[in-house]
Amino acid sequence: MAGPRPPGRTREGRQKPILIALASTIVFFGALGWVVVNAPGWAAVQTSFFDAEVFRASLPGMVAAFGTNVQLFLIAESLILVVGLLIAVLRSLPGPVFFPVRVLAIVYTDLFRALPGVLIIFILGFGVPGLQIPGVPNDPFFWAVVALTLLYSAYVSEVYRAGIESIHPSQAAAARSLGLSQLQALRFVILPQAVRRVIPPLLNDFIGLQKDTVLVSFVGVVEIFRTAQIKQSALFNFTPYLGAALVFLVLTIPLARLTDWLVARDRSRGARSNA
Amino acid sequence: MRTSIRSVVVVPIVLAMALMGCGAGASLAPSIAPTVAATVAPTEAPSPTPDACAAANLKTLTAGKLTIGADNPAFPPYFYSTDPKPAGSVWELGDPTNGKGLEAATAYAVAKALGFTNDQVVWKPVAFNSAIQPGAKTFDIYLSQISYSADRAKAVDLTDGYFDLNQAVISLKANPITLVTTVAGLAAFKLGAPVGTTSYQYIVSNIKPTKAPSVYDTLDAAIAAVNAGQIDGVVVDLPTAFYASSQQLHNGVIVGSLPTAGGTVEHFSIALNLNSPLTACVNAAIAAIKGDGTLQSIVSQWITSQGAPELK
Repeated sequence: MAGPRPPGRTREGRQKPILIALASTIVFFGALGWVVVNAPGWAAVQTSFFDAEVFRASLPGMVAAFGTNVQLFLIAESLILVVGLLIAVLRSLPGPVFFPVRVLAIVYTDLFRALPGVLIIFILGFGVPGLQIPGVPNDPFFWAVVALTLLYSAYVSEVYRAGIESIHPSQAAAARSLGLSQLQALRFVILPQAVRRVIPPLLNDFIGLQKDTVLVSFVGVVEIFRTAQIKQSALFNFTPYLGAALVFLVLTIPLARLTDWLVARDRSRGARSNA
Repeated sequence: MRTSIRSVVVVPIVLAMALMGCGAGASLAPSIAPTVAATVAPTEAPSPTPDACAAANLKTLTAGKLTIGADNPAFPPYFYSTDPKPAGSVWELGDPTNGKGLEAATAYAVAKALGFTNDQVVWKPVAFNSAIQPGAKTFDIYLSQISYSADRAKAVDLTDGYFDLNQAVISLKANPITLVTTVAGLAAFKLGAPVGTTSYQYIVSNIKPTKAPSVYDTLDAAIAAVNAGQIDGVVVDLPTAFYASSQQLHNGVIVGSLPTAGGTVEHFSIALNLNSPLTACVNAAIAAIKGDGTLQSIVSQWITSQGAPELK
């Protein structure tokens, strides 16, 4: 990607590609915009999706409702990072003694990556409280956190495992030869390197989790998407959904950029150390 | 790479076209002006002379008889079964011929107001979907929980309402909400409703609960939340309340029906063939049984005292 710059370029020569990029961008989006605003249904779409009045009126309520989503993904993410790591470590345990533990970890990751999130949320949100076991909470928010944690820990444990397996076996061998125990080698040699390596994919899953918090509206938690839906049905206008989308964009785009920047930094470091 | 100068020149043209496009788009807006209001034709036809509505002058399917259609099977509280089932009866579950139930009783009351005796009433099972389709009908009038809508009124004649679809609260028998007798008393409970419904609006605007109501995609999800003990009650329209409390809730009960609160309330209408000469007379008959209290006592006998008390 970042190949050596061709030599002997003048200032003018360097400006030319920038101008081309600018022009092509404007032409592309200009043409796209032209097609959209000249579509036969544009007037109807404009009033039902881009109503400034509705947008202004509905945004504050949705930002307030977003607090529920923020609570959800912050609590769930802290649990997921712990549970996911635990499962990845269990799955990486060597030796025949730990075979049943490894099987359990494999079954868990297979099962929860295969099931649709909505189904897990329904079963835990309505099913478990429906059993009416004394002492078991029936708050849908509680079960939403449990469901999201179970769902995402399965993905995150695979990310951790990929990180652990990417560390060359010689590292573990070297650690053991220095007198570290199996666990100490994992704790002080393998995991620090593995986790640093998988931070970008972990951030990806975190962004996914943020968006999936809207699924908990299925069990009655009124969060940002449900609030938008309520406003949409009251006003017969889809603009509130646009407001909800913007709130998510404001949060997730910086995170996505950060992820890309971390990947790029990682790559350049790798290139330097290999050189 | 070499064509860059040319593409720079193209930009202002495209931008100008986009701007023109915006102008054209905006000018299209008035063409989707509301035409809906105009098509909601009033159900009342010009009031007929008394003679035209006399039983002898009514152009019914069979002279001297009033053929009334109903869906089969017919359900309580609109129709009730005759026990034991009469030999040769075609009716499942509910038997309209016994006059028991909201719609059976209303049908006989309308027939009486039109001047027909009970013996002159003939019942005919007609599937709901075929009853509200355009085309020739095998009945004079049809009652089976048809809620009025402007679209339906284009396919068949729909009379004035004989029953308002008020909202109602359903819950479990064991829940303390069942002791509530007033709308104000509901405010302390955790309520739920499906999203985008009149029921949700009713909770927010009229009950004004102290705990934020839970909102669900479907009524089934709201019912599941009641069964799971997550909410105390669900607000739905009364006919649905009868079904949901008896079929979907374990030990369910209707806490009560809620008073009408502004706006338009949906209602059940009697269906007739489109442009039927009988429609005006049936409307007059409905007005008559409303005026003399017959309809009110039918509602109180078959709805209010059948497990749907009115909350004040």
